[in-house]
Amino acid sequence: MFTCSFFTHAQWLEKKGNGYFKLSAWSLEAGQHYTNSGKIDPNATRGIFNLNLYGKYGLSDNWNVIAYIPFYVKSYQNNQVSQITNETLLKGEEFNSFGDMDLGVEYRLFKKSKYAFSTTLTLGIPSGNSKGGSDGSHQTGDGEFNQIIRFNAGASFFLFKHSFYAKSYLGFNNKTENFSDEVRAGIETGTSFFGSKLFLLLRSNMVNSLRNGSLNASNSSGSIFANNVEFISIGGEVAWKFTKKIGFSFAYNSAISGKVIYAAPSYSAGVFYLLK
Amino acid sequence: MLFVVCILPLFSCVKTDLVNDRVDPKIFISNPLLTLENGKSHLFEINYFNYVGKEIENPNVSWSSNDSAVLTITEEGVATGVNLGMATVTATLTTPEENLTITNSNLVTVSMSTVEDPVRFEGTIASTSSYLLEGSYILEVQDNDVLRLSLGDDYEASTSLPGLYVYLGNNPNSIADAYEIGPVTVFQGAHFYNLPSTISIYDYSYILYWCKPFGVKVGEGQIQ
Repeated sequence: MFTCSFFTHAQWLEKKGNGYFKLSAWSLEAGQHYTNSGKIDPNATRGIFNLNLYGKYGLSDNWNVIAYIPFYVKSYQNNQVSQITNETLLKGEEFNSFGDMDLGVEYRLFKKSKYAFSTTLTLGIPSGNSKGGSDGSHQTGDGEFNQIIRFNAGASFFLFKHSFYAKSYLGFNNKTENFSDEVRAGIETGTSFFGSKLFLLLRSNMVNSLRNGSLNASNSSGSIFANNVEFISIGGEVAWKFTKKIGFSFAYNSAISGKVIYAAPSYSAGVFYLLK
Repeated sequence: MLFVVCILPLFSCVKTDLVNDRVDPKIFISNPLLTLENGKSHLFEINYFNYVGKEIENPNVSWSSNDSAVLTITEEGVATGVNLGMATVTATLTTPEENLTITNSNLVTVSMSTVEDPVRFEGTIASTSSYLLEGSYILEVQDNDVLRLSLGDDYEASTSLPGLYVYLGNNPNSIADAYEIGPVTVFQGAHFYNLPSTISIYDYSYILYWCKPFGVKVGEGQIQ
């Protein structure tokens, strides 16, 4: 029941020698989830938290390398305490470890005037723990190696004499270990104020399962990681540059529909550095 | 700001969920009779489950017979057949926590022999969530004295549920004192679970299906 990590950096490709690096904290806590039929059911309150490093660096004007490294991931569940007797019915638990990394490259396919097209290949490295905690349910990774290919398109435009940008992507996630493959898509729009010191952006992402994987509870061989996760999410981000190179950002994201995913918003806050 | 990011883990930590796990307290005569041989005695035993479904040993139960000319019963629950006929034995308890009076009765025929009541429970399991879970069940002691929980041909459960376990319990809102039968490995069709000899057919009131890793009930069947 993980929400997926999406690269949240809202910029075009970095020029050669330039980079964008961010240290972030990401948190989600949920007492309910979307079931496999899309309805919402309660669950014991569970949370996931991570500290991560994100970086995008321009090897050249056309090639960028990207890394997402969740170096500290915590999965936890609340104590279940009787409202009647105050007795602890089920002791809470937390599990910490390194998480699944994403490593990728982005290549500029085409850029002209205010339009840009690129493609991204991301490798999902199963560096996390897929069976953490006393019963194996506290997972900091899904235990499978996946590859995501994306096509990105972006444009800048003016609205009411103010400059905006819009980006979209369409991707295919090839998953292993009997997980179903996925189609992913997203859109994003944003703008800046006060001489590009303040950035505001809105985004929506979608994951749709192709349901071609056989992993389910009857053949999971002990794995409890959910297959066929789907969702549509909306969110936004605010970023403020203190100096020309350093700033902070705050983001909010929430699934407005889904299957086998937590029904609760996620929050993240981070400090970024612009290498120029 | 960097400091703020680094101390955020302190706020994502194990806290407490309050669970309303109150259930109606119950007592059960755990060795009921169909018939009692005239002139012989039988010690009735009681299982008492309190307002959170916890079994309380040695409850303060009072016994009565509605026809002492047929069957008498002592304060300790020893019933003796006095004359041929029928009488109802009743166990009564006042719960200490809520001062509720609860009872359980057994209609006994005093006759030529003693025959224990061959208890068999059957019913249906139904989903208590949005996940598919349904089917009929039978809980009974087999000829070889093994207590068996059997699920019928009409049983079906969603395979999308991670970590689905089946329990026997006395509190439908908690598995704290429940007996874990084990992980669910059959998701469609008839199957059974043989239970250990330490479990009596009267020990539990519910069959519970629980998504164990995420602490949520998915379905239940009421036994008694």
